[in-house]
Amino acid sequence: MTTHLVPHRAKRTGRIWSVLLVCLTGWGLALTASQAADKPQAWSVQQWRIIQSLSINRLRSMPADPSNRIADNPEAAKFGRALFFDESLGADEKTSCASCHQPERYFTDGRARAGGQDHEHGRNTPTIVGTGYQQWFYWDGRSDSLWSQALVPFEAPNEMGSDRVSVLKRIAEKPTLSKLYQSVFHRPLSLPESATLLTTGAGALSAEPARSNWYRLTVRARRQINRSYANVGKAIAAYVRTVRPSASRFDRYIAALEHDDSKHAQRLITPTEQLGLSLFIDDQKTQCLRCHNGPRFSNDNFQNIGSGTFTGNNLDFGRMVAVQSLLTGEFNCFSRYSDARRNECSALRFMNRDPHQPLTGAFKTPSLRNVSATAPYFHDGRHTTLRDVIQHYVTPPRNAPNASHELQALDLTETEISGLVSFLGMLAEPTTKSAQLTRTSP
Amino acid sequence: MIVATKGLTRILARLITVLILVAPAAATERKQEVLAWQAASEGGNYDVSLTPREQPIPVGSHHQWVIGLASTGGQIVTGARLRISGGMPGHGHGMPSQPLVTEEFQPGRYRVEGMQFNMHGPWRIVVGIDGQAGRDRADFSIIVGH
Repeated sequence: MTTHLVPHRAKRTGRIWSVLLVCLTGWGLALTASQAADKPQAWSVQQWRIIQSLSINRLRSMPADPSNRIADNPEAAKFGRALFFDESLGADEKTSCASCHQPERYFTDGRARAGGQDHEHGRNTPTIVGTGYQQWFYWDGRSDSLWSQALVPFEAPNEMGSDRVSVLKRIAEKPTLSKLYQSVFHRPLSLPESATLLTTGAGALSAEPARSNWYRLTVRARRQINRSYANVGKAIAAYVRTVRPSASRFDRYIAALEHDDSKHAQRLITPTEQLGLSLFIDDQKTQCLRCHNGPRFSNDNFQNIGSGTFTGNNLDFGRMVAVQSLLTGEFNCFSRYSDARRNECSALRFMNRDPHQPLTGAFKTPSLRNVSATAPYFHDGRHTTLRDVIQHYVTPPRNAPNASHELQALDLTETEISGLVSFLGMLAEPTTKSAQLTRTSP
Repeated sequence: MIVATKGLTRILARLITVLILVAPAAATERKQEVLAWQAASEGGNYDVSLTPREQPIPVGSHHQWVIGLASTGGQIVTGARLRISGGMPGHGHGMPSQPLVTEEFQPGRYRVEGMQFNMHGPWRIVVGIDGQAGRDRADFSIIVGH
């Protein structure tokens, strides 16, 4: 086996490449010299390159969602925002999306596991900030679009506890919502007569009797309902896509260094935070960057850190089960309710289905932006402090059934752990300055 | 003497041309400084090249690569059936996606869609080949840098 790093035209003329090699070497030296001159004194060239890769200014433009034709429509975002905060859409008329995704807590709820309708849900409420950049949704990624994810909590008995027919009826009855629906979709929200007559609602994922009612409707009626219901999800997704991370003190620190203002930069970071940052980007020492990389501090993929629950009452196998749900999901990207052509559904087309991959007990890497303000941590909220979280990486599980994971135990002193915790605190954006963190209706 | 001067002039002309061609590419690709990888297959039946369509190689998003296939004698190999897979040997996990070889868009050049890396660092890419010279595989070690 041989592997060479070669340019394509290598075989054509050896002489040209000899010349090219000389040129490239010259250029390489010149570039290295210029980078060395540009880099701040506190960091090496390689460290500075990594630090810059984490800046919010490196966040690429939000990826398009071909499955949602109104994903970037401002009127749809306005409608979606109204839906997101409307408590009358919950079965108890007191629960909205914002009951768990609370804006003043960076769209989390501060609880270990979410709770709506007086039931405890199995998992911790993730933030919605920046989720428009994600490929997968939920801790196990069992939805492949924001809009299909947004439809589930309405019907989940332990979340909003309603059903799709009741939700659509409520939207049709409320003048503000029905007008917005018509304005976005250019037609009034209409339900089949068989559905409007149902007093106990109907929904495929709801509790009884709504679930049985759903399967008594004709296929044609169900499809008509689903088209309107998918539209509701697409409007909510349009709003959620507008909730994006803003600059934190860490980003301002990078910006100050980029502007050669090292005095200002030093005022933006403490020595403990600087120690934490140097550890965070040190792959030999912490391996944090392996998963928490890029401007969102997440690779948006599924990693096994030995946190699955394979015994007891709160079983959670993570990504493994989600793969099956994705393929059979009624609102997935391949479905009749998606606006995408099949070849545009890249998440589903190239989804890893390999049973030999460590998907069992794997969960999606959460973003670390605002992490110090969104405790508790892990998919089931088992850790209340960031110190506890880092301790998990210092002493990862060694005993079955959680012994099979990707982690190598870290060797960190108490001072180093404090440094990491302090550094993570730099990633919080100021709540008071963020216009998006408000419940005020548009 | 005249011959030597002509030779020197020719080399200088080439040098200037190459500098002009390389300058922008080197500036934009300085993070990876990679144009392509090339490997002989394990059984010695094929020469295989791998070229990412986006450089530097992105982390997180799906993107395309191109596999170039030739016999060890340099003849383009068309109509081969190819598979691609990979992982991080140091971490014990595979690729986050299952990329597909979707078409032979030029003779001997095959499009790979759905390539995805979720981490920076050393990766192993394996190309499985079923072509004119039989079944074989080529193994690549690559670095996805910052």
